[in-house]
Amino acid sequence: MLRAITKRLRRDKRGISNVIVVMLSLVLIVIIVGNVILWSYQMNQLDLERMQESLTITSLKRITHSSWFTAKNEFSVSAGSRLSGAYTDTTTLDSVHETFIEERAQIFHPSRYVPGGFTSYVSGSIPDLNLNDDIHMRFRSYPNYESRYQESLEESSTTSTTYQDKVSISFTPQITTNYVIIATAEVRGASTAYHAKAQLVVNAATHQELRYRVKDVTDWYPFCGLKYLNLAGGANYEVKIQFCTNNAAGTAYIRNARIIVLSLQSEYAESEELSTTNSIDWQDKVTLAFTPPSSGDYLVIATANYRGSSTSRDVKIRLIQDGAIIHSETIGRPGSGTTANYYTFGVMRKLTLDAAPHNLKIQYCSSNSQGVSGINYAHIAAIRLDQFDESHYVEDEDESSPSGINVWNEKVANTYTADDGDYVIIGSISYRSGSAANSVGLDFQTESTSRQSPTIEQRSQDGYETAFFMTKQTNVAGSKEDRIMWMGESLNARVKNARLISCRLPIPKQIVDVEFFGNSNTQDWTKLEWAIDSSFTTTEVATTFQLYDYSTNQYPASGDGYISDKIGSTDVTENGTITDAPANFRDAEGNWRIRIRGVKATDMQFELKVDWVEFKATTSDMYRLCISNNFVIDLSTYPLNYIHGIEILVRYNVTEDAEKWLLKAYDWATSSFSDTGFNITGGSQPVQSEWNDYAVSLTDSWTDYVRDDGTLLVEFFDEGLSMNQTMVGVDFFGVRAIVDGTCVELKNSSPLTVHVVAAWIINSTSHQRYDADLFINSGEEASYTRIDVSLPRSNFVAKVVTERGNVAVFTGS
Amino acid sequence: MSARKGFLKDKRAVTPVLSNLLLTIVAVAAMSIATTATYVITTNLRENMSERILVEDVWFNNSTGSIDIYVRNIGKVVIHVSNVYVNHTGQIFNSPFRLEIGAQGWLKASYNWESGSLYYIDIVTTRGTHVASYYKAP
Repeated sequence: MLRAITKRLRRDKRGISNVIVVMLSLVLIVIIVGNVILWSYQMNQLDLERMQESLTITSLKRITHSSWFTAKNEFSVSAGSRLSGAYTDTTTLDSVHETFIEERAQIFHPSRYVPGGFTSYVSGSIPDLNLNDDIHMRFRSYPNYESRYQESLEESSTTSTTYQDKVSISFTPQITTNYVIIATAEVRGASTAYHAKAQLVVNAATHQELRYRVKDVTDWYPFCGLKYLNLAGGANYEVKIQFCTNNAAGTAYIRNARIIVLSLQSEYAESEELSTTNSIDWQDKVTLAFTPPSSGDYLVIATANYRGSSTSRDVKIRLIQDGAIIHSETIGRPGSGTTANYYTFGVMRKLTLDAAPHNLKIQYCSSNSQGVSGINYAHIAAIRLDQFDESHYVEDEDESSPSGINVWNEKVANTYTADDGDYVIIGSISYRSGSAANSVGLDFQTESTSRQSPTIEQRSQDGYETAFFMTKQTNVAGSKEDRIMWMGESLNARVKNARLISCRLPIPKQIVDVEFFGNSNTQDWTKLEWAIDSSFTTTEVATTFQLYDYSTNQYPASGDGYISDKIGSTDVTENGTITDAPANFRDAEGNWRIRIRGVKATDMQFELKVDWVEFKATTSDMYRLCISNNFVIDLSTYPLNYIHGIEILVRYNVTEDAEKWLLKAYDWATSSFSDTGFNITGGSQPVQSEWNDYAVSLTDSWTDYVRDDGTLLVEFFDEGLSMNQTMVGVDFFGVRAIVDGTCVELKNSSPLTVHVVAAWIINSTSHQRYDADLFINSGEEASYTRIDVSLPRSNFVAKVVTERGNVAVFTGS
Repeated sequence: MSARKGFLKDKRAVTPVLSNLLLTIVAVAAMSIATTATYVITTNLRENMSERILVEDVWFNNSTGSIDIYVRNIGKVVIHVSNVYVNHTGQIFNSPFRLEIGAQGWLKASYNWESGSLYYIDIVTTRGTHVASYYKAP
């Protein structure tokens, strides 16, 4: 067949043209059919469906209230007790009820809290404390102190002219507080023509800088740094000792570099900018003025860097307290390069200060008005020593001479009995090489081990300079001796003002401390019971629970109102019952306070989880009932933006009519029950043994009572006047939202499903369109509620528009 | 080799090839023009057929003095309103007024209407579709 077609095509000269024409004609037909006939069919179908659609508005009415929202859980009874029934009996108006009875005991819960110290709130709210239901308030602990220590003792060298890290601490404090930073090291240079440099930096900011013009390439010159900073909890800080040279031809060396960061409270003053003078009279560089809260011992540390303008003139620096010299003048002479050189001033001394105003000053001057003295990075810290668990101090202020050339002598020794624990040991000394060609050697030792051993050859044979030492070590209990040894290459060498202190650092502890405050009544109490259910996120926390005693104005340390226990990660209920003068634990207004304090020897933060706090007072004569429950408004149907108020309804029955019954709602802003903004605050006077409806509405300040998730906490309670025990039946207890919305009743009479896409409310002044999305099946009716659509008070026209383009119209007024 | 010799010996071989080629080109060109024209015409036709406009609301707006017409595109093509006529007189409106499929918006025609009067409002699209009706000003 194929052969026949081929033959026919070969014979027919116009075969190809015919094929093309036929094929293109077919394309034309497809286009026409596709674009016109099929599309016409589709559009006709659309029109047909539109014609078949039939939607009518059967009614349209204004809605002023949401449905009732009733209890979803059992009522909390803070006074009285539950007799029978369940909360489900209070959800419908049907005379099936839950029954409560008044009791003499009344239960109270905290209305606010105050974290103590650096305790931080984590989660939960005060109402979580009303029930022992494993829903907690959580608080995070804080450390009694924080410290970080790093050392790099080996010798390091560099030819870099940019600063290199020698030792660093990367530190993220747990809490925001003040920290003392102390740094020490020794530097050396390979060329007397250049500088060996060292600096203390915190997050790249320089707080102390030494530029040592090398005098003798074998010498190790002391470097020290001091800074007092407020560091933010949770933020990271980089604390470093860095070093470098000012010329690649002069290698710089550093060793025995140590940094310690301590969260100690300190009196502090600083003046870091450069100050200069050519006066030979003392000039104040920085003044620390303070008044101790009580008489006590202080460790005073002072540091600075100084420079001179002439190789034949000296720079003088001293530390004074209240006008008296407490560290005699140091006299330094610059080397070549003069003002480019900055040398070390670093001293410490223990002072006993009374509770009167005091001032400490770093002063400086020039030895001759021909020379200009300069000083920068001046710091003074006065650290109260009772922050340490213990401290041992010794000093020798006298000038000492060497017993021979290159013979090591002991200048001062601090001998004490240590306990197990971490100690920070600090010392300082004034030295003089006594010759421009000889050095003086110093050796700071603890446990007979050299910790720092600077050797310095001075440019002036008469001047005293200072060296400052610091180390941290863990001591085993027993006798200890820290020493400063020294020697001179010349018999003219001298040392004086030698001091040593050894301070035991506190054992790291985590503390959580929280106080809860509540209100009760001022009736005559016969018994007070208090209970706390709590746990921690760690084990074995020494916990004290205390009830404030207003008669002694303090929390008791034993007896009534005091409970101590070790609490772990499982909730434990602690109870206390007070029958002896229970009214001592409230003030004249009925206020009370409970404190929970947990302490554990650890540096890891943990959390206190408080589940339940109850303060239960039993009166001698008054019967009370107070019930409360949460009512949750469905915000998906009734968004807060469209709620205009709240209504609360209680239908109740009482066996005694001697007192009124009241409603209050929990004000989430003030954390207390209130009836501010209620239209009725006087309560409901019931008729005995009949169902009484007590309805209140809140149109002002109602938002204070509705939490973001739509929850209202409402309490129903008696007036507190009845000496007779009353039974109360609650048939209905609910809340509802006051809204201004619209409900449209629609009927779909067509054989098609209708999709409503818009609604219109039209009056003489406004044509308002609302997007809608409602499907109504064929033959069905639907009720469409919109609380965001408010009907006009005058004549109006409402329209409902379908997706196919039909409009149903309703005229109302 | 022999076929090549035969082709070279046939003095009339070129003419039939050229004529067939020309005929084919003419046929293809003619049909292409016809196809394109048909496509364009039927596409326009289809788009005209697909236009559906719903006037959801007409508001004789007292505050602006204009006639505001809320229009929704319920057809299958994008709509461009080219003219708005009130009582057969073209009016200024918020042009250009374009509605995507399923979109809606206010078409605001500037017109000094009088309360109680009857107006014939005609909305015309660029494809020539008219949506017109009588509306009485309140």
